[in-house]
Amino acid sequence: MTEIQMRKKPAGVQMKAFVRYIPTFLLLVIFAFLLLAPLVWMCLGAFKTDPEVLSYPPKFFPEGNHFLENWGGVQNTIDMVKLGMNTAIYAVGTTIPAMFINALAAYAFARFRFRGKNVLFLIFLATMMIPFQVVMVPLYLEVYYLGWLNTFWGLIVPKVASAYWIFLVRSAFQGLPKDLEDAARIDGLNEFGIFWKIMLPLIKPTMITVLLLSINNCWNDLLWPLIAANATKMRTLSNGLAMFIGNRTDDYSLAFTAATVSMVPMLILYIFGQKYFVAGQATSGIKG
Amino acid sequence: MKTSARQAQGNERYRKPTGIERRLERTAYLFILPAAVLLIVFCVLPLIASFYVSVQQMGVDLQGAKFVGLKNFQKAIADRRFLQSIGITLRYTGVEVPLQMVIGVVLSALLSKNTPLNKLFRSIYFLPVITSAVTVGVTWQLVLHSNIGIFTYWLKCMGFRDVNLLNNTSTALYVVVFVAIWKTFGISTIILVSAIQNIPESLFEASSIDGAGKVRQFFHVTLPGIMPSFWFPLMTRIIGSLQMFDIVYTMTGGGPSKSTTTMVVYIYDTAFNSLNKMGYATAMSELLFAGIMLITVIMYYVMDKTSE
Repeated sequence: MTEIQMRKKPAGVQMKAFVRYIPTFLLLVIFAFLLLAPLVWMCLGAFKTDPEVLSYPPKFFPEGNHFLENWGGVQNTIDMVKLGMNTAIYAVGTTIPAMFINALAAYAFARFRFRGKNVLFLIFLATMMIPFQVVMVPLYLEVYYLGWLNTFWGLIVPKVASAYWIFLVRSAFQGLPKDLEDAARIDGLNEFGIFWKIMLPLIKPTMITVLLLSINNCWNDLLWPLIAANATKMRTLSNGLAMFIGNRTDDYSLAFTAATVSMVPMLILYIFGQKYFVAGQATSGIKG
Repeated sequence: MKTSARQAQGNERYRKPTGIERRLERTAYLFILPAAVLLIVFCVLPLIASFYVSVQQMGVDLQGAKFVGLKNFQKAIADRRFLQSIGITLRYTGVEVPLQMVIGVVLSALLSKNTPLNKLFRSIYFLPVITSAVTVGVTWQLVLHSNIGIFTYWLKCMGFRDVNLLNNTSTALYVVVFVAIWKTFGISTIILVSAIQNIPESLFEASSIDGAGKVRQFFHVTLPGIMPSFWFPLMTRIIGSLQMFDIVYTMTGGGPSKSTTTMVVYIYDTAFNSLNKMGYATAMSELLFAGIMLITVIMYYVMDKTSE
C-alpha cells in the first residue's frame, strides 16, 4: 500500500488528482467559514464601540481597540469576574472529587471480584439513561430541603458521581496487566496504595480526558445552575450571561464582550488539550 | 494464600471465598461506596420521588401539596400548549437529526485520512462543541440580528429581502435547528471518522482494484463499514434533540409567540418560571421520559434486526 503511494506519480496524474480534490476542498472550506465567521465576528465585536456596532452596513473588522472600555462596562453591569469565579469553583469543585470518587468505583469494577458485581454495574449504567429533565424538579426539592439552594454544596454535590466517567475509566483500568497488582501486593502495599500509587498513574491519559471533559461540561452547564443557584451572587457565567442577554438586548458591544470573554478559558483548554477532548468523544462512540 | 487468590481469578464461578478474597471483597465495596451513595441520593432517589411529585398538586415545596392522582397526566394530554410543544419538539428532531447525520457521514468520509489539512478541518469543526450553548446562542442571536447582524447583511447582499429570521414564527425553529447542527456536527463527524479509520484498509484496496470509483466505494464500503458505529451518534442525537433546551432558551426564549417552545422549555417554564407548578411539570417530564424510553427501545429493536 505505502509502496504504491510512495512511488512518484507522473505530473499529469498529480495535477488531475489536485483538480479532483478542489470541489471537496471548497465544501470543507465553506463549512469551516460557516463555523469560524460568526465566532470571529463576535470576538472582533468586543473591540468595537457602540456606534461602530450599530453602523450600517455592518463592518467585519473593528477600527480601533475599545476592548477595555467595553470590559469596564460589562464589569459594571454584571460583574463578570464574580461570575467567572463562581463558574471556576463549580467546575473545579465538581471535577476533582468526581475524578477521585468515580475512578475509585471504576477500579473496583475493573479489578475486583465480588458478589453482585454485574448487577451493581448494570444499575450504575442504567442511571445514564435517566434524563436530567425528569429528575430536575425532585432534585431541586431535595437540595431545597437540604438547605443547599444557592450554595456551592447544592451546585456541586449532586453532579459529582457519574456513571459515564465510571464507564470510561473502567475500560482504561481493564487494559492493565494483572501482574502489577500481584507484585505490589507482595511488596506489602495495601489495596488503596495499589490503586493510588501504581494503577492510577498508569491511566493518566484517561484521567486527563475526564478532567477536561468534566470541567468543560460544568463550565457550559446551564440548566442546573439556573435551577440550583439563581441568586445574583451565585450565578455562573452561562446563567449570568443568559440573564444579561435576556434583559438588555440594546447593549450590543457589552454582549459581544461578555460572550467573548466567557469563551476564552474553554478555548485555551481546547487548544492545549484537543486530543483528549477528541479521544473522549471518539471512544464513547466506539464503546457505545 | 496467594495461590488461592490466583485460582479464584481464573475460576469465575462463585464458591466460598477464602480469607484474602473476603478482604478484597470488602475493599471493593468500600471503593464503590462513595459513588454508589451519591448516585442513589442524587439520581435514583429523585427518579423515585418524581413519581410521587407527579401525582401531587403543589407549588415550590411539599407543604400544601395535595394528592390528585393521575389528574396531572390527564391535564397534560388535554393541554393545548403541551401538545403544541410536543409537535415542535418532534418537528425539531425530525429535521435536525437526519440533516446532522447526513452532514456527519459526508464530512467524515471526506476527512477520514489523517493529513495535516484534514486534521485542521476536524479541529475547526469540533470548536463549537466545547463552546457553551449560551455563548453559541448569543453569537447567533447577534449574527442574525435584524439590524446589526453580519449574516443578515450578507443575506441581504445576496438578494434576500426582509431578513428577520429569529423574529419570524415560521423560520425561528429552523434557525434553532441550524444552530444546533452547527454546534454539534463536530461530534458526529469525529465519531464517524474513527469508525471509518477502523474499516480494514484491504476492503478499500479490493474495491479500487475492482474498479470502483470514490462514490461507489462510499456506498459499498464506507457506509456498511460504519453502520455499527452509526447507531450511537444517531441515538444520542435523537435523545438530545428530544431534550432540547439551552440553545432555545438563550436564542429565542421559546418565542416568537411560542413557536420554538420545545417540551423541556415548556416544562422548565411551568416548574421554575412564575407558574411554579412543580407537580404538573414533573408529570409532563415523566411523559417525556416515557417517550424517550419508547423510542430507545424501538431503535434498539431495529438495530438488533438490521445488524443480523
